[in-house]
Amino acid sequence: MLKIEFYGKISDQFGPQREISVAADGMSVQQIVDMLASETGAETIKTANLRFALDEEIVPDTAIVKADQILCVMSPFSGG
Amino acid sequence: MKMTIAAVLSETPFNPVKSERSFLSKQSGHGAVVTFKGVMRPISKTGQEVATLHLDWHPALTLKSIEEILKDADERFDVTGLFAEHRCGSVYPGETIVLVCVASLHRREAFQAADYVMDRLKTDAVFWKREIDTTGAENWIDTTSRDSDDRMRWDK
Repeated sequence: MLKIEFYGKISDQFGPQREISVAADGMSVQQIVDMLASETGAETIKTANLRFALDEEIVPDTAIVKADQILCVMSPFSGG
Repeated sequence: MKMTIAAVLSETPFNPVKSERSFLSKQSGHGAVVTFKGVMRPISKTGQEVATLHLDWHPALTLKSIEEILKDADERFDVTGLFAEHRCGSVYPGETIVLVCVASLHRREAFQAADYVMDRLKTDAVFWKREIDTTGAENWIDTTSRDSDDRMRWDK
């Protein structure tokens, strides 16, 4: 199972975290976003200007995610 | 001259005087120190009374983002010491949210580096802010256009 953590405004829609199954050879971040959108009907996730992190590194939406990783889905930062 | 860079993320209120004193104790050979302290305002931009400001943070990325901002400031300005302490979690009106200390040989570099660090913190630090007003209503806070414009000054 892939653990997904949500930060910022997007956590209002998806909660702080959830787990999903991913293919053995992994999926791209964009594919996971599309899957979340279709599963929940929350299409706004596709246009929310999100940023992503994998195992504590910021990554583009083309990054490949494997089941044993933690994907962070983050709303735009609001700064300090 | 030994360069010092340090960032601290604090879930509880901190004493800015004590933090500044600790920063100064690690400095030597400097001729200028600029210290900036940001304090939580009791009124929102829309005029509402604010009970709590909640700064959501990431357990690793937030501190890392602050450290990267300080390193960028070190590369950009001729400074001898950089320090930032930032609150996370629930902050109440009047409490210090952020402290930035910069030491340098001469004043101009310290002023500019402190200004730069604050502009970067306001836009690039990994935080998500929520204001909770006195009725209990919550609002997510976005970066303002002024914050973005201030940040862009340094790209010119």
